Amino acid sequence: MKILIIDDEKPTLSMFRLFLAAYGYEVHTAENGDQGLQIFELEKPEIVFTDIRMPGMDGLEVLDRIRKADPKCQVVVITGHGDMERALEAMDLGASDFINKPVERQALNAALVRAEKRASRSEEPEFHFKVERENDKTIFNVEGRLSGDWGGSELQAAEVISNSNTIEFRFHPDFSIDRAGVLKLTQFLQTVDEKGGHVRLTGLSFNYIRFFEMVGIHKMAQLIPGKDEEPGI
Amino acid sequence: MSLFSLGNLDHQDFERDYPEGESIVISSKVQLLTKGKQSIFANIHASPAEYRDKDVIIVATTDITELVEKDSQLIQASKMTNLEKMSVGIAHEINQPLNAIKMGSEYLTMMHERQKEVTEEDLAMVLREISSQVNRASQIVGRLKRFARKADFSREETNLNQCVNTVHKILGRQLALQNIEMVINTDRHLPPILAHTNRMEQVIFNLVTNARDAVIELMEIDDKTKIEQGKIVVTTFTDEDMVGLRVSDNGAGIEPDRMETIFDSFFTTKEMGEGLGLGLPIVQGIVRDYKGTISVESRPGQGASFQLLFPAHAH
Repeated sequence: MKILIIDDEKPTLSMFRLFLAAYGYEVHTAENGDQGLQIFELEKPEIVFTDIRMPGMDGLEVLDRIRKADPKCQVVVITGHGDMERALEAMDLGASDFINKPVERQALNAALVRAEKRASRSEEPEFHFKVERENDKTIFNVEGRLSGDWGGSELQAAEVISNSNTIEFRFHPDFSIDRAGVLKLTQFLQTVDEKGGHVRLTGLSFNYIRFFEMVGIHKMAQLIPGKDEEPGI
Repeated sequence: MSLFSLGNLDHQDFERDYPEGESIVISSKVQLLTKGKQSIFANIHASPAEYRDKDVIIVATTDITELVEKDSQLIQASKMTNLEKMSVGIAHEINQPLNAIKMGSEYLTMMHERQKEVTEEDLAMVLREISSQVNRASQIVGRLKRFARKADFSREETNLNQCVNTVHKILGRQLALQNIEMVINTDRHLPPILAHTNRMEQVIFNLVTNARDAVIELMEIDDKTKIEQGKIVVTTFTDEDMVGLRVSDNGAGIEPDRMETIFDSFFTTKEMGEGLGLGLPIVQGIVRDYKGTISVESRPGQGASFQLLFPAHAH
């Protein structure tokens, strides 16, 4: 599988090259957005990692252009620690995942595994939200992209809470979210929290947990990681 | 000080140098030692007078230590405010070497855990890179520490080129990320001036960040006048026995009716909370301290140019 890395930092590119080559990928690198797009056209990589803050064309524009040119390409954005605003923008532009700099091995692995799974799919999964009951526990199965039109309103939260005290969100591996989705989810969790309910979020990838921590969701719900996988060699 | 600092006291010179009814500044902000060997700052004034039919000079020494210290605190506070505003950019900059170090060591750990062989070449590269990225990070930290330090009170021979280079190292990359090019044009034979290196860096830092704000202002305007690439040019030059420094930009410029007020304290065009309006007054204060002058030229919509002139310090 082909991967393109775009970053204005040469030492970072060298390290990515080593890592990804050891994992068995064909690695291409670019030092800026323009060069990145040229290589993208030429090599048609399935996965692209791009830094956000770069001189000239920034990573968000690279992301936008690549997604428009090939919606199947999985773009992972590399964000500075705690750069929430840009991470949200990247989600809205359809980034497949995001990893923080300094890049941890676990974060890199999670992003690769997730991107590979998503790349092998023929199209974007539809949003599915299924409610189950297990004893006094309510389970929400979430698949696809959670966005602003999700009906998890305050009313529903109140209703759920009157039935059971424990709620579990089970996130499918292809789960993704955008800014409006984050807002809706936060509102829902807040209502449950105020009414004394307990919420667990399960099946989240390493980077999604980091993201949810950054937007403050961990204060209202317990975040439980999915199983760790390492990309194959 | 001695009597000689009062100059030639012949009748003719005396009348010229000490016109009646005026008080003449002999020295300002000089460092003196009290009887108790305590260092103080003083202004020394002289006024002509008559005493028992004789022309005399009354010399007054005023202790201004407290004032100087207040000044110095204000200057320091303004610098720290500037640094605070830069903190996101600084964090990003330090993150770059950290990232290479982190990934390099995680790579070696991963290979080790999987008992896979790392080639000689890769191993050498990772080790070399880890070491040089540590140097890079510590240089960034060192520069910031030196810049953030409060200037001490004694003046030194200051090379403006060196100050310009320090500021370029602190701001250059961050400006590049905002698509602003910082061009350095230094006169290699620039004589030194008598100043505080640290404060001159602060002055240049202020002028460059002002230029950056002006460039960004123009970049964010949504019409044809907006620019794609910002440019800030810092030039040093010699003009007879004066040493000069110019900071020019292609930003929004200054409206003619504001030219008069830009050096006034608390004048600001920025939004509430963005700036206190103390940047340029403090710059002007520092420049005057070193017997320098500051002047500005601008064409609204095309840019501004701030010029500083200082007497060269003869060896």
